[in-house]
Amino acid sequence: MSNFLEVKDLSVSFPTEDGLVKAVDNLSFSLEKGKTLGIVGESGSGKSVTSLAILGLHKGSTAEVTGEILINGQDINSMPENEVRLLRGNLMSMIFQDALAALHPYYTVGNQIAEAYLVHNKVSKKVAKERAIEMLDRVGIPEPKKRVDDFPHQFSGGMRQRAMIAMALSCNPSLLIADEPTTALDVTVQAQIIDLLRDLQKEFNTSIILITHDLGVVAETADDILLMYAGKEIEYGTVRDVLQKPQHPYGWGLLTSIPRLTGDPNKNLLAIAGTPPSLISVPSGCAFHPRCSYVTQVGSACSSAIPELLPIHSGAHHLVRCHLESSVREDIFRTQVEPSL
Amino acid sequence: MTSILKVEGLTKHFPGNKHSLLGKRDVVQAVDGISFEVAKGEAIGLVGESGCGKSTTGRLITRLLEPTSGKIEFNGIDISHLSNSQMRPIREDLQIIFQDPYASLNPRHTVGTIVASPFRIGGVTPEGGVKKRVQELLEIVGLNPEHYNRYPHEFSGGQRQRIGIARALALRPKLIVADEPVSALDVSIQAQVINLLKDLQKQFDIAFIFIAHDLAVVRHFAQRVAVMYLGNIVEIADRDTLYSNPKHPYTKALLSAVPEVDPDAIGSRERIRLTGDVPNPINPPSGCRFRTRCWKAQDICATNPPELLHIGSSQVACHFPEQ
Repeated sequence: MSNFLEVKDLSVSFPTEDGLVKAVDNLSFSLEKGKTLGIVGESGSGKSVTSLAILGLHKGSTAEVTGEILINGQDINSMPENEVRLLRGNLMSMIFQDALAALHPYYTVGNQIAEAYLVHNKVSKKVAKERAIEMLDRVGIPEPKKRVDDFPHQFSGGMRQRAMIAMALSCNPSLLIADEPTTALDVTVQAQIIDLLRDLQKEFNTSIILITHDLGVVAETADDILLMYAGKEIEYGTVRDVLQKPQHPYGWGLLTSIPRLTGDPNKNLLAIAGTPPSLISVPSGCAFHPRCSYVTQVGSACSSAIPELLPIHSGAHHLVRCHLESSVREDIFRTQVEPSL
Repeated sequence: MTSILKVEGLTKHFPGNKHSLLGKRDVVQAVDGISFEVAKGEAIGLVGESGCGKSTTGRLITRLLEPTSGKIEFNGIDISHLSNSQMRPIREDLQIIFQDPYASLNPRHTVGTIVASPFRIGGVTPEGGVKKRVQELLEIVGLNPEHYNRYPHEFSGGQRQRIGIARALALRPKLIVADEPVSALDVSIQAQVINLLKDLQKQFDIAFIFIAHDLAVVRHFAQRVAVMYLGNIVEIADRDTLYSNPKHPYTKALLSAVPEVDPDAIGSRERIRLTGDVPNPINPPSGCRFRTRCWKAQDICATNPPELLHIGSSQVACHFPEQ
């Protein structure tokens, strides 16, 4: 199947008083129709900046965006702002982490959903409101006819997130970007929202980019995972590959450091030493090398040359950016990482 | 085992809105009659979703809030209604770590001043002088003792949380209440701080009340876990029993809602999906507060609030507990 979204060599940098912040550095990935890509990384790894670039939301800011963002073959990055605007909501839309901040407090929820619909459809206000009620019903808001006239503050956290999803999907977009859609929610509500997104994706055949730091949420929703560190993709593959046979030392660290509901709870978690780097002075070579425990196995290359993103063996779709030789990596994974997963 | 903390029928009602001039004021029933004990050197986890009253409980125990009713006995002394000055000597043994490492450190004070503040306030001079002890503390929590003169903004989130931990440790307390100590941190940093707290708890034999919404985090820290829902404790059990054999339907639902990292394990697990949200604590459901979202609810659940009773080694507040 052909790729619906293709990002090629995307770089985003912000000039600041302290220097150039390279938030995203030469990122490439693709997404098929109806599939979900999970972009995973810690704060400052560039995952949100990437999503804003896809929506063309850096236009008009000081950010320097280079590279290509092809949706259905059209390059978003070279398009003028007013043309991108027509695509937003229609072809692609976004749901944000903090629904209370993303919804306008002075307008009713129904009004805001109807507005998004009116921008792209030549219909009367009455029809748009009908559409808002229909969408609220679809995302599981009880008594949608009544609640359509409520203000955001009258909704609970989970309901606001549902309302935002309703708004984002009101024009049947082909691409939905969900930026930490469940981080602000309680676990029982999070589970409801994850189920809802999955159902809606099946129904509308939407492609979803899910941005999160929660590996559990990705495992339950995504098809592919892109693991980011300091603005670069460091591992890319299917959920099964990346979560069950991670190849990058950072991926190993992440998977062994998260507390789980299974396994021996008395063992100490294997934490990654140190802290994520500053994006103004990204470490030379592999950005992860100051925190990596396997640098000694490679030698000076880690701190001098940026490793390329390569298949773990020829023909594989599982890509990794690491200097470790694949046989050595395989060995470390089997003897040191797998037992503590 | 002797207990360091005993809580009996602890209740906190906050005044809410008044809807008319002569009308009655709403009452937010944040914590409603909870009882539990913490043994010396024990780590107990307090879990629940937002609005369940877990943080309020932590603040009541450390007496940052005045309880509406009920009793808090710390180290054999009834501290439920002590004044601030009466609390001062007790605070040497009873410390708190806050959730937000950005809001809980004074930006105008150096790290040295922040970590030394318990000595200053308590009027205690440690052996070898304040500076030496503060540097020791910084080393214990994994910070460079040379950074004594730096300000909080020069540190990352994880390092700031370590500063807060050093401050809580300064007077060698017997009980530390940790209110969501890792939820503001990145995943890779979370593990560092959990490991640190775990080591400190063992090394100094400190009792911990670990408040968190994340069941997996609590599992790696606490020996016993209490689950709260809408101001009530619904289940208390030792860790292994609670995670392998939850008795309260809410505990069961909460556990099944935690997303699974292993793609192969996702299909194999029983999924329970609760509908709706947590009800408003101003007007909680009658009887069992969980009944509006419970799939087992019967008529009795609406009329009689269930008591926290012993079933096997667990304590459960439910009319129809799981077997």
